[in-house]
Amino acid sequence: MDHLSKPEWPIQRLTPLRITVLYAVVASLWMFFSDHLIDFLVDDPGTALQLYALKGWFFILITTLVLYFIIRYNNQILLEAGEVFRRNQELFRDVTESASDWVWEMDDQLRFSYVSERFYELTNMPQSRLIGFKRWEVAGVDTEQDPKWRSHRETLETHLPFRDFSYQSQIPDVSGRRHYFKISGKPVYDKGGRFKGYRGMGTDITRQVMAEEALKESRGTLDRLMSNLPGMAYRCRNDANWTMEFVSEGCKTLTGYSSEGLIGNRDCSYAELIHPEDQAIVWNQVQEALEKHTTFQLSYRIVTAQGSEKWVWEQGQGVFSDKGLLVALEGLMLDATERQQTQNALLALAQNASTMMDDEFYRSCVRDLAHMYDVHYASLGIFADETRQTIHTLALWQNDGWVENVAYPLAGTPCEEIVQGDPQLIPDGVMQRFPDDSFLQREGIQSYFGAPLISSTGEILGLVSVMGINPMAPNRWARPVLGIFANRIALELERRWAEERLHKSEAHNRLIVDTALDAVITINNEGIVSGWNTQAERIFGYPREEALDRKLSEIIIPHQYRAAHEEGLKHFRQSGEGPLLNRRIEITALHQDGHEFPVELSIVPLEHGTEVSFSAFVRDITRRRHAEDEMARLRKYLKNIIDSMPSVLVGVDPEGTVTEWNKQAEELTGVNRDQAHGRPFAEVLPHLEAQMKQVKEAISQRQPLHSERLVAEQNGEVHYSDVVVYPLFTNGTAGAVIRVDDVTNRVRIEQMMVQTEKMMSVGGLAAGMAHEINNPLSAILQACQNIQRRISPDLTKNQELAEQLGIDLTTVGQYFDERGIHHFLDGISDAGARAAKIVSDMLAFSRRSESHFTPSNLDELMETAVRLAASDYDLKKKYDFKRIRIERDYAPDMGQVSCDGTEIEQVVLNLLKNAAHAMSSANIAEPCITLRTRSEGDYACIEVIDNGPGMTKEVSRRVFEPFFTTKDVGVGTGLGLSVSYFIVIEQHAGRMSVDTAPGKGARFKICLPFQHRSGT
Amino acid sequence: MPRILVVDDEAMIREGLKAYLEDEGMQVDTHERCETALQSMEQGRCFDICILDLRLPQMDGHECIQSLHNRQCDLQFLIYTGSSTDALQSELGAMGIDDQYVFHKPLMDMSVFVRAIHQLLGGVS
Repeated sequence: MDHLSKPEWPIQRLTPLRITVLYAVVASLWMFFSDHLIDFLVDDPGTALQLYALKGWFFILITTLVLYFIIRYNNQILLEAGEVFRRNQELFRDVTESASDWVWEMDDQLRFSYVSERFYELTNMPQSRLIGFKRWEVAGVDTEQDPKWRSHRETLETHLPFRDFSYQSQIPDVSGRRHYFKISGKPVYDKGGRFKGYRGMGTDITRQVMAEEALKESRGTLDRLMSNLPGMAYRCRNDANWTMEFVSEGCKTLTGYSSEGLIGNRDCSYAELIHPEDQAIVWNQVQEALEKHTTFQLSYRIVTAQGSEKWVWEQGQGVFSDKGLLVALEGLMLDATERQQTQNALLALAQNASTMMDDEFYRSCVRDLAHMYDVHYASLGIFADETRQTIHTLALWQNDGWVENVAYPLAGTPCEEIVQGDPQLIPDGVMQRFPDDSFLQREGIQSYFGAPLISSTGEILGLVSVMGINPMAPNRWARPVLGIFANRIALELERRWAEERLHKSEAHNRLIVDTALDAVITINNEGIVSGWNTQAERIFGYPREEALDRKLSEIIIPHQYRAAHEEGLKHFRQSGEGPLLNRRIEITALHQDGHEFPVELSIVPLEHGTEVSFSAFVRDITRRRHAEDEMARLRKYLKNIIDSMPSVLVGVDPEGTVTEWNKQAEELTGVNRDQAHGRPFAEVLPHLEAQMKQVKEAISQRQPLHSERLVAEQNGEVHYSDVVVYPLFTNGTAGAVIRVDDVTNRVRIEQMMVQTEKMMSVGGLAAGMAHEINNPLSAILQACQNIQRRISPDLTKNQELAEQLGIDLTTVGQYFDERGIHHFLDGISDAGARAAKIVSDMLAFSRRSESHFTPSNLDELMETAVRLAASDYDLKKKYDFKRIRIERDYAPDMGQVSCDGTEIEQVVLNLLKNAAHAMSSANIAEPCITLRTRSEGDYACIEVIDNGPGMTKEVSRRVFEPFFTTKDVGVGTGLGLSVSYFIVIEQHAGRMSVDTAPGKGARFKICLPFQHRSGT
Repeated sequence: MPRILVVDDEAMIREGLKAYLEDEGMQVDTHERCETALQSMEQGRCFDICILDLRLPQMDGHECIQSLHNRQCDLQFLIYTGSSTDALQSELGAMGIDDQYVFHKPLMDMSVFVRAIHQLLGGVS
């Protein structure tokens, strides 16, 4: 039995050599130390000797005892070991002999050297046919032909261990059965490492193989069974691929893949077959069922190898081990495409509303109704308008076809009753019941079923009806089906209208958000930003991601407004009131970089159920504000300019309505700007009524039109105006500006200048003929004076001559008086004087050389004039100039003025005379003339101021006109002031004006240039 | 008695002046032209004052004054003219004739001559 290893005993560990050596050492040490101890303790040799002997005996005793125990222990172990060995041997025999397995050994030539009894029993093979032969020789196979055996032989010849080599024996047993064996073995080596052969075991697996074959056979039956099913049975792992361990033959029909292709995911995993949209559903439902340990039923789509889509109905369950672990899934799949298609068709019928176009949906409904009730007519209609008197059909089915929609009045039709809210089922006789319904009469309608379309809010929208030319049976589904259709259609109508509105508003919103230049910011009612468009990014400088979820007040609202903003939100939350909502407001906003800028803002609250959010449309109006400011500034500037213009400026539109009205216009008319606006200009400027034609003409010709010296009477006075109409074209709107200049003064001056020019030519003429006139005048006047003297009784010569002649001069004087001779003589004298004055005044208009210009002192000139006035003969005749108080207000340091002193003296004298005359004629109590000189820039000015009666405007305007006089005829020539004016203006290039008003005296002012410039 | 020579081509002016001055007790000779006045002086007539017009036929006022002055150097002149534009020639100034002895026609009152004559003669006598 050398082929079995013996059990190891414990005593074997103490080898005999070790025991012997140990004994020798202990004994030697004992002898050595015990001897020395005795020698040390006992001095007496006799006693020592006795002790030696005792010691020797003691040693023998000890060693004997030890030896005894050792031998006894060893014997026991040997006994036990023998027992174990014996039992092992029995066990081995039992195992080898009774078990189905057997033990075998081969020698180094791979020939069987031992095979246990069991093998012989199994095979009924004699030992002689086995021992000394190689395995393949025993099995009778050609190892070169059979790859399985060849590989086995190679394994053995290279001395490798092997497991579970199975083969079918070629030799049948007694019962004629050929066994299946499975063997394992490993090489054996001797202590020197040399190959000694193989040792191994074998098993009879015949029954197992038979069972498997039986199973395979039965599976084939199942497969056949299953292949006749319209589906596929399967067993798979619960993994993401649904890795198939088994699928039935139906696989090919269902999926297009062979069962082999699916098993182990060879060609394709089952998971890949499932429609991508359904994969998650399948997984989730299966896992749910597995958790609950229930069966699962699924409907989903797969895509077959041919690429077509199929509906699959699957039922399956988890297969669990005894320990409750999931081993696999098993189940059955059926092709449910057809059923699903049917179901889908039904669903589509219910859902098609959302996919069909309006007409399509309505038409399919009326068609279905017509078919369902088997009638010729079906219609669907809604109210045409708010009056709800007319129905407008959305779909009309007639004799197997759709016809064009119509609108018909409700009155007198069965529909009229339906739109009151109740369905009507009239199985027969409808034509007779509604004789006024021409359609029913014409088509011969007998039966009528109809139901109202009622919205979710209870509003009646219209009706749906079917009509037959034959009586209809009002069976039990007639009413509910019509109702269902009606409801369905009503809902659909509502939905579509809502969608339409939504679509419109959405499109609208999108348009606004996309195209508007506004920043669109949305916040919730807590003020948190939830929307921030690109324009908002640009305007406020915050990128979207930075702005979102932040409080609006913290980012774009300046500090000073934040509290108000929060307060406003709070107020809105509490009361629902927002005074700033839904209108445009201008406010200051804060930019990310900290600068504040004006924005225009409108906030729209958006309600989503109970939630309220706000959308703010914000526009940066910095530039607009600037522009507005600039515009306002410019407008003000222009207004100031226009107002400061000395002209009346009136803006009008093409109809002549006033649009602009400047200050001058206000002053002229007394109508203020606001009153004038919007009124026809002819109404506020009546004297320009005729200009309307010019306004139109100017606009149409696009050219300014001038009208000069238009005469108008104002306050009883003649006024002259220059009118210019400028057409205006601004941004396509036409209009005009009417400019009116009151040129009355200029006209008068011009007229005066014309007169003066005339006078000057007369002056020139006068200068030539003055001599010729003055001589006869002189003769007349001298003669006159002589006559007066020589009839006077005062003259001695007269008396002497009268005495000689015997005449009484007193009587003659009386006679002359009585006959008015004296009066006539005075008349000759006065007329002569007047003629002389006219001539001399006219001579003043003749230009004189400037050789008379000398530097003069105005004060002195004026004093001279006063003296002349005081001694003036004419003046003295009528009033006493000395009565008039003269006040002098001469500028102390005024230099000399280059002028013709005599002329200026005459001018001043003339003024003084006029003043004296005016004051005396008005009987002024304390007449006073103030003489004043002032230096005004380049001019030296003289003022002669009286406190006389003054002049009216009409008079003062004309005082410088030649031959204008207020004096009685014969008192003045009317040339005095005009001559003065001529002297000052023409000869001295000066100015002369009068400032006066009735009752306020008069102030004449003459200004002369200090340095006279020749030629002016 | 002042002896006055009046030279004026206008008869009514000559006669008017003569009448007035004679009424004032003066001796007045009148001439239409300067030439006849000179002839009368050549015949031995002497005058104190000459009143003359500047515009005279033939010999004009200035020549006349010169000639009369040459004839009788103490003769004084008063000018009585109808023209306001005729300026006095500067030589006359040397003879003591200035603007204050120039009277423009027409005169409203001939007494100015009487005053002027007395003034001139008073200075001499």
